[in-house]
Amino acid sequence: MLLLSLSTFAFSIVYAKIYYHHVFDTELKRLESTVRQISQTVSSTASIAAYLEDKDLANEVVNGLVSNDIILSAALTNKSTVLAKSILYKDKGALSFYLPNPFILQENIGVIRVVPNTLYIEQNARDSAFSSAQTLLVVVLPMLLLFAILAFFLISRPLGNLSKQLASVLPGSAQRIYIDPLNNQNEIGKIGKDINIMLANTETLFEQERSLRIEVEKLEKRFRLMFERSSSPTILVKEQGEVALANDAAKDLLVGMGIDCEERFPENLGQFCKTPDILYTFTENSIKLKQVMQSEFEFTNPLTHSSVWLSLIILNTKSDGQWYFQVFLADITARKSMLNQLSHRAQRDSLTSLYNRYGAELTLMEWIDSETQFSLLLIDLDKFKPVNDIYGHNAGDEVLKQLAKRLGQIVPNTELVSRWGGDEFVIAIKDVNIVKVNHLAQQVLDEINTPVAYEKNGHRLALSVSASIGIAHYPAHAQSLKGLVECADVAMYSIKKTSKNNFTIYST
Amino acid sequence: MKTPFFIIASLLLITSAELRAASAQEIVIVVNKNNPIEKVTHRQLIDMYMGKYLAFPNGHMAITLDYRKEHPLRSVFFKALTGRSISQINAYWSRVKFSGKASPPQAYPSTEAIIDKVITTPSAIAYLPANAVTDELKVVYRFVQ
Repeated sequence: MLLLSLSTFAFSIVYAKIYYHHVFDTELKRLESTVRQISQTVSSTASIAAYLEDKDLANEVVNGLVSNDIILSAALTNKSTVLAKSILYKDKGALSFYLPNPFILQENIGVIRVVPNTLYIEQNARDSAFSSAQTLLVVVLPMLLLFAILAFFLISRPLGNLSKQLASVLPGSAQRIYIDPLNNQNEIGKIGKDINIMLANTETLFEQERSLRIEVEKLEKRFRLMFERSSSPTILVKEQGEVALANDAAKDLLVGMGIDCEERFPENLGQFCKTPDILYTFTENSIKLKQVMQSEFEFTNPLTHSSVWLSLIILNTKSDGQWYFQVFLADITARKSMLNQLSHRAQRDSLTSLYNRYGAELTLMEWIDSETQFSLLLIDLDKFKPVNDIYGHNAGDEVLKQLAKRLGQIVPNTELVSRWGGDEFVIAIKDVNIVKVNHLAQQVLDEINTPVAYEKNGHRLALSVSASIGIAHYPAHAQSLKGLVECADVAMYSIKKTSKNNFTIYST
Repeated sequence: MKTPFFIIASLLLITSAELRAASAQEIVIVVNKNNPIEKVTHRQLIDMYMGKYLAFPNGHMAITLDYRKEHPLRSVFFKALTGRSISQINAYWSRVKFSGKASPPQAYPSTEAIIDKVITTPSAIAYLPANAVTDELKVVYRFVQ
């Protein structure tokens, strides 16, 4: 405000100065032109005086000129002589007006020299200019003062007041700026109102922000709880394999396997994995494809040397431009062993504990898949039905149990012994040597022919059965399991229908 | 009453006839036959008639003769001499007379009176219509029309 006043003041001074010079110049020109006009007025009389060389007339002209305030001195000369001149006349600064012959206009016969009263003219001009500038200042200065005062009371002070109030307002609080009722309708009031609207908006925003933050904190706490207290082991891994977070369950699991929580993923698990290459490929693929991947791996616990099955789910997430992958671990060892048990049960015959037909088929299919040569012996018991009929089912069961046990003993673990059906057994050995196979078949017959001891109602009984055995070779006799069994069946029936208690190899 | 009207009417007739003759005829400048001057210039004429020099170019005094104010030849002559109207000429003289340095030429009522004066005055100089010139006069200048 002070600056404004000062600059306005300076401007008016400069303007007054310019105005002064302008008026001064104008006045000077005007007076000079007046000198010219006066000189022009007397020029015809002066011409006559010059023509007639009339000194009296010339004196009259000169005196007339000098009687003007603005003319200091004058002289009238014809071609050769000075006809008249006023006292103090000097050539310096004189204006010359040439005089024509009154009767021959193109002829100059003399000259009037007029010296303007420069001092007087300038003084006059200065006075005039000064009074003009003075008038200007007299008008402008009070206006300026009035403007400054009004501006101070109407603008500066209310604005300063607003700014002082605004400085003391705490952002987001319910504080508002007080607006003077005098300013209610003007721009100052409008600024104040706008500030209040802004403050209200700020408060609302702050409030929203605050409640949002509380909500976020609550959620975060819940998520943290969910994550930390989750019974499912979870680790958060950065792209380079650095473990960023591990929940309690994950820590327990890792510590239980003798793994330091700080170790990088997946090397921390891979060192104890039974198939580390598959594990690494699996994680690499998951990271590369950014897909959710799930797989199960078997590990050896270095502390207990027992087998541990872990299920791994890898979930890729991007946060703040950085890729993370969440690894959900689950110890599925118990489930795995249960499944193994179930599968064992499904493949075994509950009476004899040998593979049942399903289990045998699975094994044989594996052999066929790996193109392993083998011989299949289909054993069908003769005279078994009478045992059941005469001595009861328990006796029959006992016979089956005993025979199964004996067969299991004569066949190595690497080969297969199974109960194919009610009184049918299948033995398979990875060998097609006829001598060896025949030898085994004879052994089988011997074992079966050996009577089974059975006690019923205090009576010791010896139950004896025989068997018809058909042999077929894979892949010599058939390419499929079904075909092979059919071949063995054909061979077995050829014995059954003839001699019984014997064996034969399938022949086409 | 009849006679004055007639006189005025005849005077007017004469005046208008003379005026017509004057404007139609050329004006010449004459001097006494015995005057040694043979010729004057237009400029010398101006200076003599406007009161600047009262002498002939040879230095002899000159008496300039003019007609009275109302004479019609006068305005024609001064117009031819200076290019100015008679009223401007009159204003000139009234200004000059005031200082007393110069005086206007002597005035005569008619050409006859002028001729008489020139014949009798050796230093006289006057202007006449060309057809009024007699043998006793010497023409020293002719206005070219």
